[in-house]
Amino acid sequence: MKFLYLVLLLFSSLAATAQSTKTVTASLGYAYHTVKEQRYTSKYRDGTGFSIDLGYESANERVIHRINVAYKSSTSGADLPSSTNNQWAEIQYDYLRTTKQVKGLYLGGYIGTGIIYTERDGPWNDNNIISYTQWLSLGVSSRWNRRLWNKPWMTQLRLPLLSYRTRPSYGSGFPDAFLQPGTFSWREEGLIGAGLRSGRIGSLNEFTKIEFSSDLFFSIGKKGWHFGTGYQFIGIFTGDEKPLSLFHHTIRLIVRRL
Amino acid sequence: MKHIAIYALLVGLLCCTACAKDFEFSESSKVEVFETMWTHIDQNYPFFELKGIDWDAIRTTYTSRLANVRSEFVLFDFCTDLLFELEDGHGVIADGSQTISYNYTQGFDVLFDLGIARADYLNNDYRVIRGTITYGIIQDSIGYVHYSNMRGAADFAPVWDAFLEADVQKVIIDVRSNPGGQIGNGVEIVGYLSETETLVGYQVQKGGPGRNDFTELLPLTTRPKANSKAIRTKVLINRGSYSAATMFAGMARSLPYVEIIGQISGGGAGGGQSFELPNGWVIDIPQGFYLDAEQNHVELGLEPDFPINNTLEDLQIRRDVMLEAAIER
Repeated sequence: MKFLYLVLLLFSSLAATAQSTKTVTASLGYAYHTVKEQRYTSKYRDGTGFSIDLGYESANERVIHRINVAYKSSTSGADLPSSTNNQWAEIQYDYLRTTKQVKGLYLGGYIGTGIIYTERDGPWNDNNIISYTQWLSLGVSSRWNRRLWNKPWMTQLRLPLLSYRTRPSYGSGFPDAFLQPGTFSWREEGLIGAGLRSGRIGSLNEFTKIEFSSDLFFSIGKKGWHFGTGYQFIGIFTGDEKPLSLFHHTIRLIVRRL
Repeated sequence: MKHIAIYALLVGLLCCTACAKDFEFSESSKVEVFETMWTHIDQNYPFFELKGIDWDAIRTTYTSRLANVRSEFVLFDFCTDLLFELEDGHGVIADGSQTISYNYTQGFDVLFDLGIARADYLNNDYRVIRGTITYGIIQDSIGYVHYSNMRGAADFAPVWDAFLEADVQKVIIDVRSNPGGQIGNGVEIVGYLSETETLVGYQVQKGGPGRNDFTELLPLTTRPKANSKAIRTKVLINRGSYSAATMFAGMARSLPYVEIIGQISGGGAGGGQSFELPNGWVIDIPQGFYLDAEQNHVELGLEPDFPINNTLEDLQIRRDVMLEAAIER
């Protein structure tokens, strides 16, 4: 935690020493996804929902700092006897530096944490009605600022390299650390602590989250307002015995204020 | 232009994701359903060894039978038969229009009529909570309560208060023909009977896909209530006492002043968990189980300390000899 604080402090001071541009971004998207949660299904289920993203960015010619908060909600398998409600929240911080070789290309890293919580609805047994995937990741991040039809065009890519990922245990909805003598309680007490201790550390073998987005912006007036539209893809794969596979597509509308 | 082409290619590749497609019956899809179901049970069912089930031999048998499955209708029967090889009451299969479960009372006479207990032993002087709990006082000194399922442990509080108010000398907890509910409710109710924290059993979960991959034994202990009291207690069970009702009886037996009376219970020490097959059908199987405080399985049924069962003739003359045994002992 101290390390994270020091890193953020360093980045903040770097940002303060250079001439920087501050940008606030908000987007609302229509999402389509296919998901296979092998804790309770052998098949891909699809569905639709929405996605909200809020971002704050500080950038100069050399460095970009960006913090992003996202919330997604969707329903899958609405045409099946049991549908699934998915709630997804995450926060990410990116640190990017410009490259000399390719104009407009920034490379760097990110730290992000998030959770996907799914709850089934319908006539199924309520002993395994929920599932969740929580992660804390460090990874690589890139952005390519180009112009398309003479408009700002931004393409971003993120990939985790090291993650701490928590999922339910193999045979129950509780996290692994909860199912230990001394911790286990039929009253389900102490779940938060056990949940935090239940993760697995790994690289792409444990948790893969490919995130790609591409957005095109149009100016509105002369006061730094931009209106944009874009596409975002997120693919998530977990490496446990009953893994989660998720493909999430969003078409979004964006408002950006410089 | 080159960049646009690269961009289009990248987006195109990322769009090539899995699609949720409707299931159509075919020679290959029936194999997919069978293989998925067999494998799911193989990797999650916890009782192969206890029940002496040779799951590999069953695969061989059913693989040959699969050739004769020529419609989705027959495939449902085929999958039902495969599931019922487990002889497990938590084994359920549903196709959206019908839900079939294994009959755990098969081969047993389950002879119980709550109406007789209410009219002829409680003399119609009883209360009902949420339509599932019947309670009253028998012979001025015996508290009687019947649970029709193991849900709503909090509802036991007014029952217990009424028993203490009546200063009962004995309690009869009747879980006959009770199909179960939540295991925690059993622990909670036993908490009223025990003045100290008591080990009442263990919970075990599957810990991995191997047939012997289990978690450690997880102790289940009661937490005494403010008004807990050690009162001589009889627990009535029959073959219809299943799942959490069997577990409750197993937990109650941890107390030295509790006696189990009746017919061997239905068992069902696991809790069903659902899994969706490739064609959208859903099966339930347990993925963990309860052991009593002496680490005995109760999956196949809990043997009573005092075996006794009603006969059809008993019920016809409005006698409940199981309840009478609980009153007299």
